[in-house]
Amino acid sequence: MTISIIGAFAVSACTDLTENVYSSLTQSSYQYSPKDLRPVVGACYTPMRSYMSHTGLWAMDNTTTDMLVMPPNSTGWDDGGRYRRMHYHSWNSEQGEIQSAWNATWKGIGLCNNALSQMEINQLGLDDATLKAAIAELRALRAYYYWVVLDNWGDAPLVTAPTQELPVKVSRKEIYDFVVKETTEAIPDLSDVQGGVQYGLMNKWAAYALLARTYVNAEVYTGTAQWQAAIDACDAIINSGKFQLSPNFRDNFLADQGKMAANKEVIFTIPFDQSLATGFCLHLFSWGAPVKAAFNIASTPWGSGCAMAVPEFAATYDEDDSRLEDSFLIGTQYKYGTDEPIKCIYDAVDGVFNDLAYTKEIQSGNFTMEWEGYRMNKFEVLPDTPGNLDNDQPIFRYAEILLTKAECLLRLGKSGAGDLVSQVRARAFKDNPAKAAVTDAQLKENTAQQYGYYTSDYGATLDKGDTSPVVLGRMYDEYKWEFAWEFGNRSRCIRFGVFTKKNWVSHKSLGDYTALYPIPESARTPNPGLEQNPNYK
Amino acid sequence: MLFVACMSISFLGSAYAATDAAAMQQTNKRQVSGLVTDEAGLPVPGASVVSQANRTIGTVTDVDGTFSMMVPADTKVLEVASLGYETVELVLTNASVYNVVLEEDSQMLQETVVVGYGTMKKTEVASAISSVKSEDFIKTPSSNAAELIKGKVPGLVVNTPDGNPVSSTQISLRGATTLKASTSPLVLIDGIPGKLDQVSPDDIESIDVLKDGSAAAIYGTRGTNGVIVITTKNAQGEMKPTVDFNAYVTTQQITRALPYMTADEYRTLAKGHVGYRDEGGNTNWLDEITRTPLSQTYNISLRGGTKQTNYVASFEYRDMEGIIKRSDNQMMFPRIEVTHRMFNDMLKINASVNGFRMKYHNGTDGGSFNTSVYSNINYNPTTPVYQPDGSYSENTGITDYYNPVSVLNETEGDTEATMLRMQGNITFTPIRGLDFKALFSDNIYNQIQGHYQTKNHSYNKRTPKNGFASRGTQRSEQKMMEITAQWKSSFLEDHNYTILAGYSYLNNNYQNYWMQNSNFAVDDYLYNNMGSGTQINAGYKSGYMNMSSTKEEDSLIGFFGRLNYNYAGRYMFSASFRREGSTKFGENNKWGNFWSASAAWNMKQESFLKDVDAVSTLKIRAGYGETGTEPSSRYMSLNTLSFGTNGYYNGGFIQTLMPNKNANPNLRWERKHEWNVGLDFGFLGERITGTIDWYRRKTIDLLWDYTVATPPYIYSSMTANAGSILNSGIEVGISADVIANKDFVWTTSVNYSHNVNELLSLSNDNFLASDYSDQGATGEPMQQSTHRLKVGQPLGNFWGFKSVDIDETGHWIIEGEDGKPKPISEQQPTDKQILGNGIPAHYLNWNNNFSWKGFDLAISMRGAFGFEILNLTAMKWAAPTMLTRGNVLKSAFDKVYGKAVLADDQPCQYVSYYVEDGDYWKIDNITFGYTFKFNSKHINNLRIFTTLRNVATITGYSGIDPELSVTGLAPGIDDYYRYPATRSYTFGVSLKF
Repeated sequence: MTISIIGAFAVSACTDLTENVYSSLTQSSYQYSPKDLRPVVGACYTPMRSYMSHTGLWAMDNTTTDMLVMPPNSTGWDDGGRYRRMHYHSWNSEQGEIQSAWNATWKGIGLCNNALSQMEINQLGLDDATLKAAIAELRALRAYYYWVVLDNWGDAPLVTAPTQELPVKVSRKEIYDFVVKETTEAIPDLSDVQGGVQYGLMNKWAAYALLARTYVNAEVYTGTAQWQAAIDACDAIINSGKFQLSPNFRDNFLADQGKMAANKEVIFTIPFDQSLATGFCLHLFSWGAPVKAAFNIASTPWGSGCAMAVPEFAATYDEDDSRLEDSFLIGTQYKYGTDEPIKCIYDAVDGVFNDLAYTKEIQSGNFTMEWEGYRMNKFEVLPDTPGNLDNDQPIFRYAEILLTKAECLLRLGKSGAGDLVSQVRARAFKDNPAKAAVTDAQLKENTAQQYGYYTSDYGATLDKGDTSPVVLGRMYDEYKWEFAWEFGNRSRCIRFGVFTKKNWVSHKSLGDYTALYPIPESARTPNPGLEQNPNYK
Repeated sequence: MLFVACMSISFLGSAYAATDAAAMQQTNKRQVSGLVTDEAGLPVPGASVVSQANRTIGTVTDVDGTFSMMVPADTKVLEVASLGYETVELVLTNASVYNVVLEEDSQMLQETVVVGYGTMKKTEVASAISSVKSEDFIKTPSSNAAELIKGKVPGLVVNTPDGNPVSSTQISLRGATTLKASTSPLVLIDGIPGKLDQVSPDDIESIDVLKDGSAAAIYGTRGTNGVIVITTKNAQGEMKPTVDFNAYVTTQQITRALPYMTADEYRTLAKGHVGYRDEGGNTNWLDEITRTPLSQTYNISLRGGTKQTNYVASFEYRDMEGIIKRSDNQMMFPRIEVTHRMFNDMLKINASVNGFRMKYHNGTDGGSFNTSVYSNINYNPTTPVYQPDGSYSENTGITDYYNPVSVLNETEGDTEATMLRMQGNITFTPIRGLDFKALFSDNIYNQIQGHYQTKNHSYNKRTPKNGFASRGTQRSEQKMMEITAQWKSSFLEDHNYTILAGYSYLNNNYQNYWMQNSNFAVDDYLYNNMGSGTQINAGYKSGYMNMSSTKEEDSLIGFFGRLNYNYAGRYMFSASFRREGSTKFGENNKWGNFWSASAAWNMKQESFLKDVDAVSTLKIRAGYGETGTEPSSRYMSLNTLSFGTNGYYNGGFIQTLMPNKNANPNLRWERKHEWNVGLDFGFLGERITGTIDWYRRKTIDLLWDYTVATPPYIYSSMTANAGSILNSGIEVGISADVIANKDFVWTTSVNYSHNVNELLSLSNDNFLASDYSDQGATGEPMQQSTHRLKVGQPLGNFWGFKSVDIDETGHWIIEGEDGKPKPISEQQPTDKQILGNGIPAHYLNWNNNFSWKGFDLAISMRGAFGFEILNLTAMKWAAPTMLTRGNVLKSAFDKVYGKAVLADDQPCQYVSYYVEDGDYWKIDNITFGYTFKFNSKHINNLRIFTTLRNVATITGYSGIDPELSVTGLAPGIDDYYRYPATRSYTFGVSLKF
């Protein structure tokens, strides 16, 4: 034994400290080649998956609005008050959701910057056309991440190359200009293929949709409206002839990438897989555990679940609008494939566990019973689904392009909005097609949602708060009916003047400052030059 | 150089003198015989009896202690010597029969301490080193070395947080000096790095703890947490074969059961509350999963040898049962060691093979104890274990709610491990005082584990996997080579010095693979036919099917040296240096230098104290040392890429390529600067002895995953060196021989330690990071972090909402940021405050040993003071709302603050109500024994004993046991799922042949 050790030792130099790497790779030793194109570019998309979380950007975009709420119940779901704070708008710079979204977004930007710097020196050895397309794709994708920065935080750093220098903030206007410029410049080199091989990628149409989303909010971002520019971006998509509304609303939310890649409505999306690309578990945090039996899934929803409809929002749906039931799980739940009702398992009434029947009304935003609140029924959940869904979360859909153009026409006093909105409504009123039609004038009416604040007693309103009509309120409602549970809801809520003005459930208006999120404390202490947004510590 | 040459001449001189004594003359002879006994009158076998004038003439005593020999007629003096006794000069008279009484050599046993790479007389040591010899060990069956010195070394905290037969004891020394790196001291077993549970406690001769920086600096980047040096029992010189045999049996009981409601109480107290359900049965779930365990340990050792060759062989077998059914650990420890001296003792060769073999129930994939078994004793007490059809009662909807009997019975698994420690060393002593030593060792650990959850397993009822199997192996190997040269001499009579120089090479290699599969046709294969599960055909699925493997390697290379000098035993000076490099460091910082210096003044040797009889020892010591800490993981400085995360492309998911961390080429060791000042004293002929040490240890360049700014960084944390921690404290140890009669002896020792800790910063001039970090987790449904690490504060602070009251409906009222009360529904992160600290500020130990004739009694008591405990068990299970999730503690229906019971509609909250004073005083160990002495040919003595462990605890803490994990960054949490602490009863025998 001794001899063998001496032998082994004699081979290695007595001061050699080279680190031998076996089961990982290092940047310095890895040889890049053209086959690394998709691995390198594809990596830049992956941070978006963490957006789709009950503690990520999804919550910032949805449970802060007048559409969804996440109240605690007897199984917990208080978690130090974090979900309630999203509802109350009483978040501060330590709120985990904001930190998670900030980190994911800057990781995306950082990876894009890295990849772009590799492209600049053509480290992968690509041909000119491929290189050009890759650079355009990365610039447009980075612009999308910067749009998230622009939309949520306003003034922010603008970092466009790999660096270790601590950045300072630039104005929201500069970020806005950057997003517009990068997207516009990238468009000519982007692929114009719809779906198929381009499904889930930042192609020309995703870039136009990003421009439309940016322009329609331009007044919020910069003080100067860009309604016509938004219409132009929408028209580029509409006139391409490559898109059409899916025949059925729920065709857009299927648990099958094969079908989704052939979908003509989805423009840009975050693809998920139950094993290979996890993180989409909306069913687990919206549903209660007993619903497991209703869908015969292989995972158990977390406690009594939590994410649910704001009752006053659910009440605005037309009784014939199929999107209510296509978006929300309502009423008595039955065992999969049977008419046997499922029982509650956590909350008993006088010692009896009743049938689980989800009610529209909830006690308040502070506590709910197991059976309260309409839950998620928008994304298809197949039997045997484990803890992560196979569904993809759309970022941009053609329906949004049509509604955005409609809104801009209304804003500019032009006609045609009613027709566009009616197109989107058509599939939701198959049983009563007459109700699908809506006029320009109707879209200018007030919202149907009744606003008011309450802390118990199922909506016995304590404080109605601001009661002034919402300008183009019906147009706002049209968006909400279509986009509940998806991204972009907060921006609209702000744009239509609701987010910081109205009271709903246990949320009371706190003032305009909540239209921007604070810069996370964890990002500021290591970089004190990063000034906090107004009214936040 | 002149100095060196001068010393060489003096060496040669003495070597010459030694050979001169080899002359031998033939003269007339006479017969001499006698009996050699110890002070108790027992015969001493194997003692050497040698003529002083001619050492080639001699013999050894036989088993009865008698000797008989022919000596030259002019022989005047015989030397009688035996290991552990003072050598006696026997002056021959005309008599032919002599009785010789040997006195125990207290000098040799007590006054030598182990320093790095050598030993020193205790009186000459200038550093803080505690040495515990085997006769001072806690005399009780122990499962690892730490328990032998529990409460014996001031400043060394030894904790036993649970009763799992597989878990090991926690140790920490002098406070928390690091955030991310290991907090465990370096453990050396006969010079080879190892772990405290890798050697049988019965084989240990002494344990030395190198506490301060000046003592540990010679170990460089491994020295920061102190060094524990274990010396195993050996044989030296002439020794007849001696056999020791120990056997003990132990049983245990739970110290205190968690006070969940019985079925009857449930039907009374819980009725009317949300979640109440009566399922007709009456089950005590704790009884269903626990048992009265029986553990057995047998240890046999054989030692002996001649003047040239010695041997040790030992074997231990341990079969331990835990209080939770099926939790067990079977171990075997073989050991063989041979030492041979030749060429007139110029060359010493030593080789040994030892290690262990371990086998335990694998209750969870990759571990021993499945926390679901114990945490689910909150299963509804009215639910029967089995349904009328024989199946397990299950409610697959409720979060984390598993029938614990199903989890226990429907799991099959074994972990089997072997450790082989091989070492050889050669010492060459060309001239007296000069030693060259080369040490080689190779330690190999191999582990294989299999785990299977049947189709009926509670997990698989919930998530239908149709049988789930896992299999994996790990192998780690540590190769070491160490070459040292030591030169010990003196000049000008009173100037004594020792010079040491050495080189050390250490290489660690780790490999593993792991596979999981599910969907088996039958349960019969268990984990033995991995390929038969069909999930593999469908491909990777998280939690169903997976495959992984890794291989890693690191090396640590050091050059070191030390100079010890003393003048007439009065003034001591010592300095050491180590230059060390590690592969784990960044390419810009591969090598580091560590040094120390210490000095001592032995006042007892001064003329003014020499004749003061009342003072037997008085020595002042002072030392300074710099040590380091390596990162605990490998490859942290490298800019690694990963092909891990998948991205969607063209109909499927492809692996994407990205950097997987913020690389740091400047990564290096963490540095600790430590000052130590100490005083050793002894009075009344050492009847009272003691030590006082004061230390101040400052760690700088703290290794930590710092929260860095995003942007510019891609990842929000980065492993780097910045920040510093300060620990300072005192340690006091006093021992006294209170009564030392012929028949009755009472010795007592008290030791106390106090440590103050502060996180000074989490940044430095070049590196700015967040000044706090949240640590620990309450788990669901609270989902809060429990601790906050903050600059300017000690480690271990609980961070949460301060509850000040409760409203009449049973909802918490907390203190807001502005100091005013507010309902908890308005809680904000900024309302959180420091609620206490989980690390005890004071430790006190009191050990007593009594003996009367053949009886011996030892009582050990320990206490920890000045800390708080987060009672997570009460936070989660003493809340009526949790009736929706099963049983709750009876105290859930107690009025909080004497005002109101917690509301049904109040989810569990992390508030200061659950942070309790943790102070405790434990009667830790009572051992009572009797020793029979025999004057028999076959047996020397027999001791029978009984031990009670964890006997009683005095505490105000309302939970089960206040002795908790106090290491790491989230100390002091009393989890509801930790393996329960137990009280144990042992009966044992020790035989010496």
